[in-house]
Amino acid sequence: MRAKSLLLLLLLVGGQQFCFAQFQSARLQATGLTCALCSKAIHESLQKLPFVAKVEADIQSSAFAILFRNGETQDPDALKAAVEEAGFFVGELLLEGQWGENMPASSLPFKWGGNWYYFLSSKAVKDKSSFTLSVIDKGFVTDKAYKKYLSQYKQTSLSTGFFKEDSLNPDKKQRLFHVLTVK
Amino acid sequence: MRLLLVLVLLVQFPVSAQPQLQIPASDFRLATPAGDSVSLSSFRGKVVLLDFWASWCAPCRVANKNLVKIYPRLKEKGVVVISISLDENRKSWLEAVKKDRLGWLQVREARGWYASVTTDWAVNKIPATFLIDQEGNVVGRDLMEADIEKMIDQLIQ
Repeated sequence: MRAKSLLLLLLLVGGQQFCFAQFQSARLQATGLTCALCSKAIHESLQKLPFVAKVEADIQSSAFAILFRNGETQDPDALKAAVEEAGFFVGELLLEGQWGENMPASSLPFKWGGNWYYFLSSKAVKDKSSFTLSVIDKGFVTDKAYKKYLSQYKQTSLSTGFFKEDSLNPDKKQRLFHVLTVK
Repeated sequence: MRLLLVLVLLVQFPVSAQPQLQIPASDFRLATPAGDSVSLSSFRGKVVLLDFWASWCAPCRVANKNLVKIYPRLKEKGVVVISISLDENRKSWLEAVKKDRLGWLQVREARGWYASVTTDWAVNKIPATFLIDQEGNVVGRDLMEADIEKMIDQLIQ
């Protein structure tokens, strides 16, 4: 039932132009055999993405602090690919921004930075101020954590990473990222 | 577990430590915490141990501890030790220098990975250390502490 309503919503709003609400920054933890922060390859790989303005290492969180460029589509899959290209894996991806006037409803998918996101927890949106979302799709958390989330939320789209197939448009699969509110 | 440790050590300290290297060292001019400008070429005639690191690099901080241990012996032998930090943040750099008690020459390249000094020295990961002889040639890279001292002894004989 839920998946059907998601599909309906996508059909209703998919073609509309949105106010281009964007994330401001991200915190990305990369894992691997060696120190990811200490590798030039991963810095370079992230820095060359068109939507990335600046990459800095943050020792407090052992993560890359990534500042996004304004007006570009922000693609978590591209961040993941960049990390993997450099020989590492994403251990955690936190997306940061401000809801402002575009605060989404907790129970509906919302478009942000050019991609679709869905809250897996109902206590999703707290207030209009700044937020931090954790992406928990496959490849954005450790395998162990992903399995835990799968059994915890039992959301079909979490296992595929996509909206349910569009019967009118079967060739067009729409990517959907699943998030939890960290802050 | 032991195999993993060996693997990690191999990746961190590749066996590529090449004592046969003899490449003219690329010069640089970088600032100390006090703001003085330091160039590598000004130490011609002395053996120099160059260490690339950053406050946010955990393996570098471990390596710092080892360097602190052997530094008195290096100093006694007249070896100049220079640490080049890739910290973009000056405060983090200075805090780490203080915390790790690095008592030798410290300089910083604030542009981090994007600075020419990392390209000139082909530094793709840190920590990265280089041993430079009295004529200004790179004679070793990423040497283990024991090898550093052994090579230095050969150079100053």
